[in-house]
This record gives sequence, C-alpha cells and structure tokens, in this order.
Amino acid sequence: MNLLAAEAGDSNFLEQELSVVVLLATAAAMAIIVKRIKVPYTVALVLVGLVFAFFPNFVDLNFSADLILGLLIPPLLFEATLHLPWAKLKADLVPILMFAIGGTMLGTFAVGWIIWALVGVPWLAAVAFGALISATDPVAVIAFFKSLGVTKRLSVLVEGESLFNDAIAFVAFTLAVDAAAPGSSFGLGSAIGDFLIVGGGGLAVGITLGWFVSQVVLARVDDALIETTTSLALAYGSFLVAEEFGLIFGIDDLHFSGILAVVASGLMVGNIGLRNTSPTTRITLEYFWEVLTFLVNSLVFLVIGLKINLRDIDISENILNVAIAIGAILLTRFVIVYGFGAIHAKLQPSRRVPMAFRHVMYWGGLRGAISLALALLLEESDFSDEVVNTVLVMTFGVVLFTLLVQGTTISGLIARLGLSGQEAHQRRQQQIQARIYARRAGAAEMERLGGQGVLFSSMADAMQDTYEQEVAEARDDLSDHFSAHPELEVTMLLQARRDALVAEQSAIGEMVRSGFISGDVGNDMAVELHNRTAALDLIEERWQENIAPPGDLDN
Amino acid sequence: MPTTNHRGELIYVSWGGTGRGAALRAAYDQAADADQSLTYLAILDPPHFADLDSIFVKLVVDELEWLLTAHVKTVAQASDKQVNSTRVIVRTGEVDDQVVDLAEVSGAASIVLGAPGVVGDTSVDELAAALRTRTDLDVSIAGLSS
Repeated sequence: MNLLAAEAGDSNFLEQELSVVVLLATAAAMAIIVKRIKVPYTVALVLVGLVFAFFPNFVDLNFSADLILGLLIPPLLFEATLHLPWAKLKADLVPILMFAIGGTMLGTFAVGWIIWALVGVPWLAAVAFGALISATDPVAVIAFFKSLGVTKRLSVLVEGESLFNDAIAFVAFTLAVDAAAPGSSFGLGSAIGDFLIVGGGGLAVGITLGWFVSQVVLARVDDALIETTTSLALAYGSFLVAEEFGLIFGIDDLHFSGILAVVASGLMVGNIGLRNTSPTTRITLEYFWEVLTFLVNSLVFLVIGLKINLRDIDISENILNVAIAIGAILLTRFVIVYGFGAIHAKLQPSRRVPMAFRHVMYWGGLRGAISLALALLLEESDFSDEVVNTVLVMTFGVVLFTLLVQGTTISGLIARLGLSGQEAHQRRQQQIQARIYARRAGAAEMERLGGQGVLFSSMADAMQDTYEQEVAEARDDLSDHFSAHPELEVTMLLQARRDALVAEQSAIGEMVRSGFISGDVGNDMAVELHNRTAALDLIEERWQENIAPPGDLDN
Repeated sequence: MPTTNHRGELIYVSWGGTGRGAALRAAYDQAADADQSLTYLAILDPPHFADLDSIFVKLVVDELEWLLTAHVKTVAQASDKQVNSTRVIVRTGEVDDQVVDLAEVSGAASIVLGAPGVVGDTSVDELAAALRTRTDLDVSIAGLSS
C-alpha cells in the first residue's frame, strides 16, 4: 500500500469531512438565527453560501452537477411526494398537468426564443436554458406555506406543478443538449417520442419499485428500522434504476427519467405503503424523512450560494443578459399561470384555480437547485465555453433573483391576499387558548404540590383559586371572540378533531406495543384512522375553498 | 337521535363542506324560538364532491356526520336556548333534490339555508325561491353576514 497516497487521501477526506461539518453547523446556527430575524431560512442559507464562496479554503467541497442531482435531489423529491395525498393530487391533476406539461413546454421555447433573439446565444443552448429555468422549485415556497398555514389545495397545486415540471424540464433539457452533439439534430417528432419514452419509463420504474416496497416490504415486515431503511433505498434506487435502466439490459443509450421515478415511487409509498405499516413505523419513517430533508435542504441552499461564485463573475459585463433572462422568465411565467389558469377555468369551472392562488403561483415560481444543477451539467456539453458561461451566469442571476427578491416578498403577498391562516383574529384565538392551557398547567402543579405537602395547603389552594379565576376569564374571552368571529368555531372544531385522531393513533400504537392488541388488529385500526384523517383533510380543504379568499372576489 | 315534533321540524341545510358557525347558531335559535326540532342536513353536492370515488365518499360521509354532530352539540351547549331534539343527516346529490326529498319524508315545517352563497351556477336566493315553490314551506337564508 502506498502510504503517502493513503495519507494524502486521508487528508483530503478530512478536509471534505470538515467542510461538511462546517456546513451542518452553519445550517443549525442559521436555523436558530432566523427565528429571531425576519429572513426566510432558505434565503439566509443562500446568503451565507454566497459569503463562503469568497473564502474557498474555508469550505472545500466540490458539489458537481451529478452529485447535486444524484445525491441531494432524490430525497427532497421523495419526501415531498410522501406527503402528497393522491386524492388531492387527483382532484387537481388537470390544472397541475396543464401548468407542468403545457407550461414547461411553453416556457422552454418562449424563454429560449427571447434569449436567442436578445442575448444571441445559439438556438439549442437557448432552448436548454429555457428548459432548465422552467423547473420551479417548491422547497422554499412550501416552507413558507407551512409556517403561514395556507390552504392545502394551494400547496398541492404549487408542489404538484413543480414536481412534475422538474421532470419535464429535465427531459427537455437533455433533448436540447443531446441535439447539440455533432451529427445530431432536433426534430419535434423524435423529441416527443423520446419524451414519452423517457418520461413513461421513469414513471413505470417508480410505480413498479414503489408498489413492490409498499405491498411487499412495508406490508409484511413489521420493523420500523428495516422499513425506514428500505424507503431510503427506494428513493435513491428508483432514481438510479431509471437513469441507468439500459445498463441492466446491456443497452447503453436507454435512460429514463430518474426524477419522475422518484416522484412516482414517493407517491406509491405515501399513499399505499404508509397505509400498510404500523403506527410505530409511520412515526419513525416520518421523523427520519423530516430530519433528512432538513439536512439535505440546508445543504442544497448553502451549495446554491457556494456555486454562484460572485467573486469570479464580471457583473458589469453580464448584468444586461441577467436582466433579459429575469424579464423573460417573469413574462413567460405570467402568460403560463394566468393563460393556462383561464383556459382551465373554462374546462373545469367547478375546480377553477382561484385568482388569489394564481397570484401566489406566479410570484412563487422560484428557481433553485435543479436549475442550478442542470446549468452545471452544461460544462460537459458540446456548447462552447463562452456559451456555457453565459448560460451559467444567467441561471445564477435568475436563481438569486427569485430566491432573494421573490422569496422574501412571497409571504407578504400571501398575507395581503388574505391566504394566510394566521390572521389577527386567529392569532388572538390561539393566544387565549394558550393562556387557558398554561393557567390550567399552573393550577394542576399547585394541586400536586399542595397534595404532596410541599406547599402549605392553604397557599396551594389560594394560588389554585387565582389560576382558576384567570381560566374562567380566559374562557369568557374565548366565548366572546367566537361570537365576534363565528367562522373560527369550524376551524377549531376541525383542529380539535385532528388532534383527537392523532391521540387515537398514539393510543393504538401504545396498545400494540404493550401487547394488549395484536399487530394485525392495530394495523386495521390504524388504517381506519388514516382513512378518517384523509376524509377530514378533504372536508377541511373543501370548507376552506368555500370561504372565497378576498383576492378571488374579482374572479 | 329520534325526532319528536312539537311544532314540526326545521331543516338546516349546508353544502360544500362543514357549513358555518353563525348560520348554524341562527338556525338553532330559530328552531328553539319556534319550538321545532332541528335536522342538520349536510349535502355532498356534485360541484364540490363529484371528483371523489364512491369508497372515499363513504368515508367523508362518516367523518362529516361525526363532525357535524359534535358541532350541533357545541352550539347547543353554548346557546341559552333549548331545542328539544336534534339530528344530523349527510346525503350526496343535488342540493334542491335532497332538501325536497327530506322535507317530504319528514314533514318539515321550515327550511333554513346556510353556506355558501352559490350552488353550482345557482345563487342561494334562486335556490331558496325554487325550494319555496317545490315544498310550499317557509325557506330562509341564515348567517350570510358571517
């Protein structure tokens, strides 16, 4: 063994490990800091990444395009689809596919044409840019949605569109890049054929593997650790099998869409597999994916900042191209969201996308890691260095603009449109409820201390009385508040029912663990509770839709 | 819960979801003032629920019945008035047909329409007028200000 080489390798490994540790510690620190300042977590990470890029020796990690696409993207897509209920997705499948397929194709060629005409980039490179920049990134927007409590339907629309348009943009990008290779050409007929094979193959791989894991592993193996590990293997495995499908059968050029495979397998596990598991497994699996997503998500946004190396970019030389690119994506996004939205409203009047939702979908069309990774892939293409550099800088500019400008203003737009669940009277209700809960806890503690003789019983009684008086006042406040805002009563009813169903699920899990009931009985009951929760989700969604948001009044 | 008619039955109708708190409270008070029993008729109407498959509809019906029963009890406990009998019925189908059918079967005395403001392409005012014609009952609209 060559000891010098081994030592050099160890040293390199340690540097990389140290860089990962720095990034994770930074992510944790930023997560704490953003709780105190009004900056979105993802935006803060990008800013820190931009700063780190000025100190290349501090964080020495080379995240290639393949690494971003193959290592970071699959778990994010898988986790997102894991929580996407098929019933909700199916209900809005028509607008989602219109935006994802029609919108992405239109965006690809419209942006491509503008860039070709105004920036002077060759046609196929311009189309490749149009494709990669059409992939909207749901991650940042969904994070806002969760904190603001917007309706599930809006989340599903935004998430569904971005999950499918990622895949479509990827396929369109690959076709444009392949067509640029010497001896190749770009024909519409063959492009559509390739698109159907690549997309359909990816879906088939994802559905097959997802079905196998859901029906065989998750349904028959009752071990939370094994099942969770299998879900991780599925997320990466479906991506790899689809991308390298040809290798399995000795056909070098046969590749399917890994992104669509991950989306399909995640949907299968989320909608079939999790129903087949025990409550313990479901909780373990969901916690695992929550932590993994936080870690990967943090790395993705730090890497975006690191990759957009402002130190090496001549801003004055590129500012016009970046401005044209930003204008192009804003213009085409406008046409896609409002144009396809209007067409869909004619086709499905009962499921039309409210105008307020369309405003959020327009301004919430952020671009992120997938656009960046695809742009970096161009370094391996047959385009000239100058063209690749122009496309890269435009991509950096658009990604930064959408994250730093749109990403920081979307929450204001959501609040202005009245789509935020956290309105003043709702906050007031929560404040009163929190007061009741806290005072009750205080009274119970006084009772406990008095009962144990730690406090004089007369003192404990007096303090308990004081607490009870405060609880009574708070209950009166709550009653008055409901009289003034009767719609809160239904919201509270739905929330209380959801809490009760979660408590029922925990109780079932406890009974299985203690051996009071068998695993089979526990599973049956868990499935029943899962179904009830799904029904409750739907009732809540339809109820929210019936309370037309203010922004929809003009529709 | 069995219906015990004193001066007949008031049917409170909601569609498209869970209804609205203010409308239900108004209907409850109206039933109490008129010494009528209260039937909460929730309808899963095609404009809002046609996209669901039959198995899921059954789940939604069960869950909605549970929720609305709890909601009626909540309103009853909060009110200083007393309705002698309440029940919750969840049906699927067109709103007007379901209301007319239940009114005929139960011999209702009055109908109160709750949320929301439209039924498909029909306004709630038009629906109320149509129900008056078909049932010959007093039909009012409650809680729209909420």
